[in-house]
This record gives sequence, structure tokens and C-alpha cells, in this order.
Amino acid sequence: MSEQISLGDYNARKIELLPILTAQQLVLLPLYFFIPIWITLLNLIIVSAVYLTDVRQKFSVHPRIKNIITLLAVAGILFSFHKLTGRDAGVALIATMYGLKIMEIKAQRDVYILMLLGFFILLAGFLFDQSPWIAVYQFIPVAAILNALISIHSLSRSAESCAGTFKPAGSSHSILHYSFKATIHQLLKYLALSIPLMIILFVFFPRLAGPIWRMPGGASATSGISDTMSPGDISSLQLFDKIAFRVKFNGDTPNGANLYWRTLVLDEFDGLTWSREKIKKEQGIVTFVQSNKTSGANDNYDKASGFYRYDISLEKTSQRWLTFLDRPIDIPKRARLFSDYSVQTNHRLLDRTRYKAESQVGLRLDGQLSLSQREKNTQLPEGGNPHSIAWAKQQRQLYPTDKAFIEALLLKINQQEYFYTLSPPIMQRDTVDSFWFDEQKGFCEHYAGALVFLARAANVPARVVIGYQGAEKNPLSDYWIVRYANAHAWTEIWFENEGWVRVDPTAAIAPHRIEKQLQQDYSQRDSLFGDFGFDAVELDDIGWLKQFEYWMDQANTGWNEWILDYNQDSQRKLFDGLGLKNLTGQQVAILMIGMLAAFLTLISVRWMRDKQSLDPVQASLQLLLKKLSKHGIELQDNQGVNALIGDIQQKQHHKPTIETRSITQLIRILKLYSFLRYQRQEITQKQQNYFRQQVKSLRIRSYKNDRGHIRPWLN
Amino acid sequence: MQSNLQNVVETLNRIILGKPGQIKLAIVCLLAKGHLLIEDLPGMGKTTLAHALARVLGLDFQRIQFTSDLLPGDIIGSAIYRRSDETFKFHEGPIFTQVILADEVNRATPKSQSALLEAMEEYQVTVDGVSRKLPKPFFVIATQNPFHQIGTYPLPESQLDRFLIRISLGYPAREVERQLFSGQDSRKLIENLKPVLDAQSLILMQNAVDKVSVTDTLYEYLQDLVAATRQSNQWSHGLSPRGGLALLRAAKSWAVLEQRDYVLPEDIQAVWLAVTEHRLMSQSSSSSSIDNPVANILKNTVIPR
Repeated sequence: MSEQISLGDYNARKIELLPILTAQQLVLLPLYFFIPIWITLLNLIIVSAVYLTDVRQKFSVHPRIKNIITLLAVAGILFSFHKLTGRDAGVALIATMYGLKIMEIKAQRDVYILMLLGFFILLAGFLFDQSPWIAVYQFIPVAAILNALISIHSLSRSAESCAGTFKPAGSSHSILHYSFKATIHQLLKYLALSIPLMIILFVFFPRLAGPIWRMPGGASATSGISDTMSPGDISSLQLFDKIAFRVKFNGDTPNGANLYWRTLVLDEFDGLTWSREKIKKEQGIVTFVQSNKTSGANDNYDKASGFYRYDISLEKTSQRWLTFLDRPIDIPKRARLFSDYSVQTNHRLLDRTRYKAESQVGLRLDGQLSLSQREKNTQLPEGGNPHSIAWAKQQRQLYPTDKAFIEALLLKINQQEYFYTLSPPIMQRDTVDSFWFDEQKGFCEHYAGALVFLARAANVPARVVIGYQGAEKNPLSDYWIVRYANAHAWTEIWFENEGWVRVDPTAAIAPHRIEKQLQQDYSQRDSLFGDFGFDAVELDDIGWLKQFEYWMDQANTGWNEWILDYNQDSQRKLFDGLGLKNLTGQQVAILMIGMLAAFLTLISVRWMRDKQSLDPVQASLQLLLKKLSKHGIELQDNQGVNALIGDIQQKQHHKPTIETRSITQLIRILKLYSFLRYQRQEITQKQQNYFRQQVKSLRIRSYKNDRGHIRPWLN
Repeated sequence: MQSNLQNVVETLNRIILGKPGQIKLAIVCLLAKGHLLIEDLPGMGKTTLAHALARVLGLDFQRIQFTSDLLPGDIIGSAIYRRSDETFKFHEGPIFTQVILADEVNRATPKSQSALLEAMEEYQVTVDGVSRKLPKPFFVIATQNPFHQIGTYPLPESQLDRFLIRISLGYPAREVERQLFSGQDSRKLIENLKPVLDAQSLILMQNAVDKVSVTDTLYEYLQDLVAATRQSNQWSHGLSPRGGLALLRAAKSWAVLEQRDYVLPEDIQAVWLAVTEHRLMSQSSSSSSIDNPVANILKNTVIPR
């Protein structure tokens, strides 16, 4: 068994540049979106130059010129970024160097370096964007790198063109096509081999509790609702379709009227801005939860009101506030609950954060109000809005209770010409006066702010709550999406014996419309004000675009949940699920190494076995013989293939068992084999492929009586 | 060129009935520039074969009947004194021809035998210090009586080795013999035979054999076969390298006859028995035809693929 091509020829054959250049550029392509344009241009010029040099063989680049180009490029990066470190400058430098490296391709080892470097440079793309789409894209350059590596290892493809005497029956076009298919097949094989390795390494590699380092950039910009509320804050948020968080309910889901997501309580007003009191009393979470859970008989506990357990996946906010369904009764251990039922973490949420929580919609808050609390929640700024204060005080006299007074205010909003608009007129200096009496147009902040102001003016404790209202179920999955567009402000008014009661003045604008939402399982914040130009999304007529959007979001969620957020915690959970409880990091590492070793051993054993019949023509023959043995045709060890043809023909003549057409095809293949095996010329890749294709496409059909009647003399 | 060869085979098959295998081997032997040994009883058609072969190929033909009193000079020729000019003049013996039939070669004394065998090997004869080249192509067909009768000198192995191929014609099959009886006299047929080839084109074909390619796999197969004869205890000696070369050459010729320019394992198998059997001396003198150890080697050697 020997190779037809000598080792010397093999080593001396020309390196094919095109697959290498393609792979290199595909690796760099995602980076081109993030680095200065001149680097992209430089790289493209270099690649074209190298390719032309290779094709024309007319000119070559002097080493000194290469050095000068390199130095100039480094200088250019220094000029652009004023440094060579950090993400942007670093990646630009790497991309430039990798682009210039192509000039150095002389021998096979240079190709190895370039291609293996490519695998690492692929990672640079993730420094800018961690979305699943870039990961999907990365398979293309990976395949291109593999293709380049295969191409430098296989027999020169150029040999195919001088196949000389060999002219197979098929047209040369179909063979080229097949060769492409064969390459793809080979690529898929290598990719498929690497995937188990990837999974083992990903799942079992010991994880840290949190990231060692943070993705740079954008850390200072906060998003979502902030801890102050000035007119316009929320309405500007409402223009964003960006996702604020996703919720997955375990068990019941609340109806639309209860989908209020509490984030912050604002209780200080300076005449323009509502803000949160700086010093808050922390609620002892343990006692709180316990008292709630064990107080079945307590009148705090309302059996009718629903309990909801859910998981929230909060997008990065760069703030410390967590959002819960109004009102939370169980919160994550690492968070602190304040007496106003807002929840804060110890650090800013610089990553997407997932937590479990439980809420009770009808939870009663602060049945009794201390004097200081009462004072705080009825406090108003000195001066300003005199008209409102006077009007509120006077109105309060007309009603027996605080509650009746508030209901009257809501009725006024409901009955009179109060409009909800995202483009309210500019308010005068006394914003509440201006809004309440003159303009009567505004959005949730105006209504919430005004209601609290008026209540406080009448000495009724009141405060503003901000958060989100509504949610949108992803119909393709079981989670709900809450967007910035769902941002909302409402109020809480304290009534004797009832505690803090949620009052949403915005909803009072059109209460029947919120009722309508109640009838639907699915509610969206926008549709709260259907008459005011918001389009509600009906579940039944979700267009394909929307469907695609949901699908994308689902993919994104899965990606975030299972890939990006895969940390020590989720690893533990996964192992627990697999029945491997309480593994130490060391044990996990040993497990991983063991699995890797087992996999690699398996692969290499197979490889070694294949190597014994590495000759592709040989392998194809084995395949053919396997097919033949199913039909009782065996090639003896001491039998030549031509002798087998003789046997087959004889057998066919006397007692046919195989259809004549199959026999003709079979004999042609066998003859092709002995030609390939014993003729003078070396076998080209093309011939090997052709032979394999022929063997694969051979279908041996059993002999059927052609004429349809029995021929007894054959038996 | 190759169609000519087919033509030769067909023509011969018309004259020597029912022996296609032997005819092919005879032509293979000729193509391989070897010599043919026919081990057979008298009257089996040896002379007819030799004669027909020479005729079809357009070659000169001579026959020497070997007897116990045959002298080397009777084969090679001798210098005879000519009174007219008082010199010795060399008279060429019957060996100076292109096809020579040495009939019953084992009846001659070893001395005469070796004169023939020397000529076969050297393609020249030396008389009185003068070397004389034999014509080209030069093809010896020797026949030998298989039974060791009294007064015969069986060729020693070392001499047998010089014959590339040994065949035996054997009795014809029943139907074939009927045709033989009912058909024309072969002598007449041969007389009317027109040459299909000439010496020049035969030499070209002989040269074509040199160009037949053999892959490494096949060399390996060949070596396996040769090694098997050496390892076996059936014979006192295995095949010599000359035997191996003969096998290779015969296989190449067979390939040419099969109109190929590359050798297949089947080519080696086709010539195996004819090339090796007479080179291997069986230790047990009784070799039954049923369990032929030489054929067994072929059966037991795996073709490397």
C-alpha cells in the first residue's frame, strides 16, 4: 500500500492562496464594523495585492516595504486612539497585524500560524457584540479556516485539471460539482467532531461566580427609569421599544389590571421634580417574609388576592433598583427591601440580572401610619401652585372621607376633558396649577404628580410610584416581555384601615378601556389608552414581522440565559439536574478532563483504524464490497477484481440474481477500480472522488423476471 | 498492433483446436523473449504448435530431433574444411533460425543439451573463438517426455530455469478431437497460412512489454508469492530471483496480450503455474494433480488491495 505521490512532490506543491485569503477576510469581517475605516481599506488593499502577486507572479513586495507599512499602520493606530491598549485600540491593532500577516505567507507553517491565529481573533468580535447572531456568523469563518487547512493538506487540487488520460463517463462539470460537495462534506465532518468538544468544554469548564472582567464601554449610561421624576422622563422612555425585563410566571399569571411593576416610590417634591427620600428605613426582610407567610389569619393576608411566583430577567440598568410585581412579598437574598416596598441591591446592575420573587397583589401596606411618615407623605414645597392647594383644601371639605375625596378627583379626570397625550403643552411655572386647571393634557407623570399633590394639599398621605405597567406575552414561549414603552407612573394614597392603596389616575381617563383589557389574557401597556393613538396588538393578527420579532427575542433570551449567563450558579444547577450534587470545582475539572480524554481517545481510535485503509480508493472499494456481499457476491482474498467480474458475468449468465442494469453499472465500477489501482498514472483527487461517487450511487437491484413469466429452466 | 496479436491468437486457435490457454501462454512466452518448454507425449501437436506459431508470425522455423548421439555441432553447426580455397568454413547449424523446435530435448546427452541452453541464454553461439549472433527474435520451443525413460537425461532444475514457461498440451477434449478427425489436415492448413505478423513488428511488441507499468501493490503481491514458495517446505528451494523476474515479465506480456499497459493481479495469476511449476522441485516425488502445492500458493496468498 503506498501513496502514488512522492513525499517530495507533496511537500513541494504550491500553496493555494485563495482559501487562505478568504478565511482571513471572513475572520476580520465582523471587526471591520468596529475599527476605523482606514484599517479596513488597508487590509483589503494588502489582500488584493497579495492575491495579484500570487496570480501574476510579476512583482513581489520588498521586505523593507513590508516593515514600513507595518510601522505606518501602528503609527496610524496610535494617532487614532492615542494608545495601543484598551478594547478599541487593541482590537484595531490586532486586526491590522492580522491583516498584514498575509504578506508573510511563504511556507506551510505560515499558513498554520495565520489560520490558528484566526480562531483566536474570532473572539475579538465578541468584545463588541455578544448577540447570538455574531456567534452564528462565526461558524462561517470557522468553516473557511477549516477549508483552508484542508486545502493545504490535500493533494494539489490543480492536479485535477491535468487528469490526462482519465476521462470518466460523466461530464467534467458534474465532477467539479461533486468535488465541492465533497469539500462541504469534509468540513461538516470536522465541525461535527469539534462540537462535542465544544460542549464538554463549555458545560464542564469550572466557572466563576461572576465575570472576572467586565465588557468595557457604556458602563456609565443608565437606562430605564431613574430615581427622580420630572415631566417628560417617562414619556421619553415610552418612545423606546427596548426591552426592560422579561418575566416568567410559575403558575398563575395576573390579569392585565394587576400588571403593575413596582420599581420606585417617590415621596419628595420640589415643585418640579419628584424624588426619592435619601434616607430610608430598611425593612427586615426575614421577619417581613415570615410574618407574611405565616399570617394566614392576619387581616393583612387577603385570601382573595392572588399570589404570584415569577422569575424576572432584568436587562442592564446601571442602577440598583429591582423591579417586582406590585407588591413583593419575597425578594432575592442579596437585595434590601425598604419600608416603601422598593428593593435595592448592593451594587449597580451592570449586567442582565435574573432573580426569583413572589408577589401578592392585594398585600396591605402600613395599616397604621406613624406621625413622621404621615408628615413626610403630606409634605409640599413652600409656595407654588397656590390655586391647586386652595382648591384641594376646599374640595376636601365637600366629602366625608379621604377616599371619597380621591374618588371625586378621579371622577373629575374621568368626566371632564382630561386628555392623555405624549406631547403636552408647556406648563407654566406652577406646573400642577397649569396642568390641572388650564391645560388638562398630559401623560402619566402629570396625572400621578397632580393627584399626589392635590391629595397632600388636602392632608391626605400620598406618594408617586414609578415602574412599568402591562406586559406582552411572547406567544411562542411562556415568558412575558416588558419594554421601556411600558414605563409608567401611578400613585399610592393612604386610607385609614386600608393602608396604601394603588390609585392610577391615568387609568381613570378611560376606565372602561382598562376593563376591556381585563377580558384579555394578554395585555399591553400601549393599549391602555387605545383611543389616544396607540395600536394594540391583537393576538390573533400578529403579522409575520411581529412573529419574527418574537422569535428573535426568544432566541436572544435563550442565548442570554444559557450561553452568556452560564456561570457557576447555573453550572451547579445543571449538575444538580444531572444528579451530580455538590461537586467541587476540582471535581468538575477532573470530570471535564476525563470526558475530553474519553472523547479524544474514541476519535483517535477511529482515526487509527481508518488510517489503515486511508487510501480513499481503497475505502470506496470496501464500501462497494459491503454492498456486494449483501447480494451474495464476495471478493475472495486471492481474487482479482477482474476475475470477480468474470465470476459475476458467468453467474449472471447461468442464474441471474441481480438486475442486468445494476450488473452493467457494477462491472463498470469494478473495471474503473482496477484501472485506478493498477494503471500507470497517479490517482488524482478528482478520480478518487469520481470513483467514490460512483460506488455510492450504485444501487444493486435484485433480478426480476424481465418478461414477467416464470423461467423454470433457470432454477 | 494489439489487434494483430488478437489475430495471431485467433489464427492459432483455428489450427490447434481446443487449447486456447496454451496458445496464449506460448505467445506470452514469445512476447517476453523467453523460451517455451512443452512437456508432453509425442503426437500431441507440439510440432504443429511450433510450426504454426512460426508461420503466423512470419518467422523462420527449424526442428532438431534430439537423440542420444546428437552432438553440439549438430545443433550449432561446425567448421568444415573446404578444399577449393583451403580454409575452414563455418556451416551454420539448425539453431540459426528464429523459431526452433528442440524435440525430446531430454534424450540428448547433457553436453548437447547445454549447447542449446547456452545459445538460449546468450542469444549467440561461439565456435572456434568466434561469436556468432543468433537471429532476432530467437524463440526456442523444447519438448520433453514427462516420463523418465531409460536412456534419457532429464534436464536439471538449473537448466529448466532457463525456460520461461512450461506448458503441456494434453489430450484434446472429445468434441475437439472429433473436429480434429473430421477437419482438414493441419499440415496443409499451416502451409496455406499467411503470416499475420513479421519479425519486425514482433520485436516492437516485445519492446512494448518493457513499458507495461506495475504498481507497488503488485510488486508486493509478487514478492508475497515468491516468499511463499521460499517458506513452504514442499520444495527444497523456493523461487530464485530469476524466477521472480520471469514471473513479472510473463505477467507483463500477459497484460500486453490482454491489451493493457498495466499489470493486474489476474495477469500474475494467469501465468503463475506455467512460470513457476517447473522451477520448483517437489520434495515428495509424487505430486498429485488434485492438490497442487503451486496452485495452493496462489489460493492462499492475499492480493494486497
